[in-house]
Amino acid sequence: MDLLKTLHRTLTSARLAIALLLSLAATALVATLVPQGLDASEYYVRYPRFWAWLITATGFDAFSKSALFLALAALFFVNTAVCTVDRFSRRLCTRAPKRFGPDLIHVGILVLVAGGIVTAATRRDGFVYMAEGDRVLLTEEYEMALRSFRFDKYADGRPRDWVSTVDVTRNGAPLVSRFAIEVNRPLRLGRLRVFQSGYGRQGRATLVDGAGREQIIRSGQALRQGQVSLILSAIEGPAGRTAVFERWEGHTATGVLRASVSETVGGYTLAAVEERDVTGLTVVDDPGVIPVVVSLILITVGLALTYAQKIGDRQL
Amino acid sequence: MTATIAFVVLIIAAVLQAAFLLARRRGRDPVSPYLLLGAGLLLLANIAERSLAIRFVAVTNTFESLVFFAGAIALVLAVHALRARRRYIPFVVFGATVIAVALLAVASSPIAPREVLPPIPALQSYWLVLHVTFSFIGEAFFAVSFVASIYALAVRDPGKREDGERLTYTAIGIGFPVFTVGALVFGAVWAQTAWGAYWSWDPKETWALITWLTYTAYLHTRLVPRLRGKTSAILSIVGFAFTVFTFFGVNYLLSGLHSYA
Repeated sequence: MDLLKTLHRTLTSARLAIALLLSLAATALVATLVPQGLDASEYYVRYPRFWAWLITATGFDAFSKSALFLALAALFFVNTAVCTVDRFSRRLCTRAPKRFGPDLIHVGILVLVAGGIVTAATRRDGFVYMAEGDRVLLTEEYEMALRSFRFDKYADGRPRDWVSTVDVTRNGAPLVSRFAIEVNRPLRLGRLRVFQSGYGRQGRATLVDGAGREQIIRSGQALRQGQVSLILSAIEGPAGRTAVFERWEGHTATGVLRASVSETVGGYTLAAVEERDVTGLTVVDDPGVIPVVVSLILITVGLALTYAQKIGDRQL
Repeated sequence: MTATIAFVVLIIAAVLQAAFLLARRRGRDPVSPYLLLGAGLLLLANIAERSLAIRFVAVTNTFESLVFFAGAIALVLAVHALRARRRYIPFVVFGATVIAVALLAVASSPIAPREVLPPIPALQSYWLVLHVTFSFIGEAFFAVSFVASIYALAVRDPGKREDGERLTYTAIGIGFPVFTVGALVFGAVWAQTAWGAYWSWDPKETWALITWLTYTAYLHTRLVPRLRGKTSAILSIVGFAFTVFTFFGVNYLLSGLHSYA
C-alpha cells in the first residue's frame, strides 16, 4: 500500500514533470547537433571512434526512435496521464473554482502523443515522378493520371508555382477531373492525400532485346540481366539523343556505356530516348492525422480557457 | 525607409530610458512609451508596405521576420509602459527596447537582405502567416520575461525581486499560449498542408519544441515553492536564449525545411 502511495506521489509530482520536460529538451538538443539517419559507417568517418560508437550505440543517429527518447516520452506520457486524472478528480471533489483549462491542455498532449504513435505505426507514404500522360495506381481503388504539369516562375526566375493537373478514377469510374495540385493545396481522396513536392527532368530509354521484347527504363532505374545491371544515368547530346548507362556487375561498377538510337548496348538495341518534364508527387496515408488535429484543437481551447481564467482570477 | 525611422526612434527611446534610469532610480520617463508605440506602428507600416508590393503578408524572409519581431516587442513594451502602474520596471522596458534595437541592427546588416520578393510556393499559405506572426508575438513577451528574470536575479530588495518575478510570470503567462498556438499548432497545420507531415524533426521544429519544453518547465516550477524564484528565473533566461537560437542559430548553423526563414 505504501509502495502504491509512493508511486502515486512520485507520478503526480510536479518535480518529476519538470525533470522529464528538461530531460526531453536536453536529449532533443543533443540530437540536433548530430546528423540524423546516416549509415553507421558514416559516423566513424565523421567523428572520433568513441563518439561514433556512442552515437550509434545510443541510437542518436535516429533520435526519435532511440531507446532513451522513447523511454523519456513514455514516462512523460504516464506522468501527464496520472496527473491529469488526479487533478481532474480532485477538482470534481472540492468546492474550488472549476478550472478545466489545464486539464484540456494535458488531455490534448496525451491525444497528441497517441496520434504520434498511430502515425509512427501506420503512416504510409510514397513518392512518384510523373510526366504528362502517365498513370499511376495509388491504391487498389484509386488510379491517378497526370493531365498537365506547369512550372510558373517570377520575372527573376524564382519559382512561383508548380501545378499538376490530375484526373482520378475510383475502381475504374471517374472520380476527380482536372484537379490542380499545388504546394499547400493537396488532393484529398478519403484518407489519402497527394502533395506537390518536387519537379525535374527525367530521362526515358526504350530498349529492345534479341527476342523483340520492349523494356522502358527511367533515370536511375536499372535493367537487370543476371548479375549485370544497366542503370540509366543521363541523357546527353545537343538533341538529347544519347543515353548514358552505368554498367554494374553485382555491387561493382564496371564501366560507362553510351548509345544513340538504333545502337546496341549490353545486348539490347536502343529504340528510343527522350527527356521529359516531370512533377514529383508525394502520396500519404496517415491515420494519425485525425487524433493529432483533435489534440491541437484541445490544446488551443485549453490554452484560451486557462488564459481567460487567469485574467478573470487576476493572476496575470 | 519606415524601418530606418523606427530604428532611430527606438534608439532615442532607449537613450531616454537610460538617462532616466541613471538620473532617477524610480523615475518613469513620460516620452519613451509613445516613442515605442510610434516605432512599433512604423514597423508594422513597413510590413504593410511590403505586403502591398508582393500582394501577400510580408513575413516570409529574415528581414521581414526581424522587423515584425522588433515591432511586436515595441508594441508590447508600449502597452506595458502605458498601462502598468506598480508593476512598471524601467530596467525591464529599457532592456527589452535594447533587444528590439539589436534585432533591427541585425535586420540592417547584410545577413538579412532587404529585397522585396514575393514568396516561393511553400510559403504561399495563410497558415504560415498565422504561424509566423503568433510565434513572434509570443516571443516578444518572452523578451520581456527574459529581462525581467535578469532583473529579478540581480536585485537584492525582496520587493523588487518579487516585482521582477511577477512581471516574468505575467509575460510568460501571456506569451506561452500565443507561442504554443503559433509555433506548434499553426506550424503543424501548415506543415501538414504543405508537406503532408505535421512533424518532421526538422532542426527548427525540434528547437521550437525545446523552447516550448523549457517554458513549460518554467510554468511547472511555479507549482513547486522551492523552485520558484531562482530556478524559475534561470529557466526563463534559458528559454529566451533558446528562442534566439531557434531563430538565428538554426538558420545559420543547421539546415532543414526552414532554411528560408
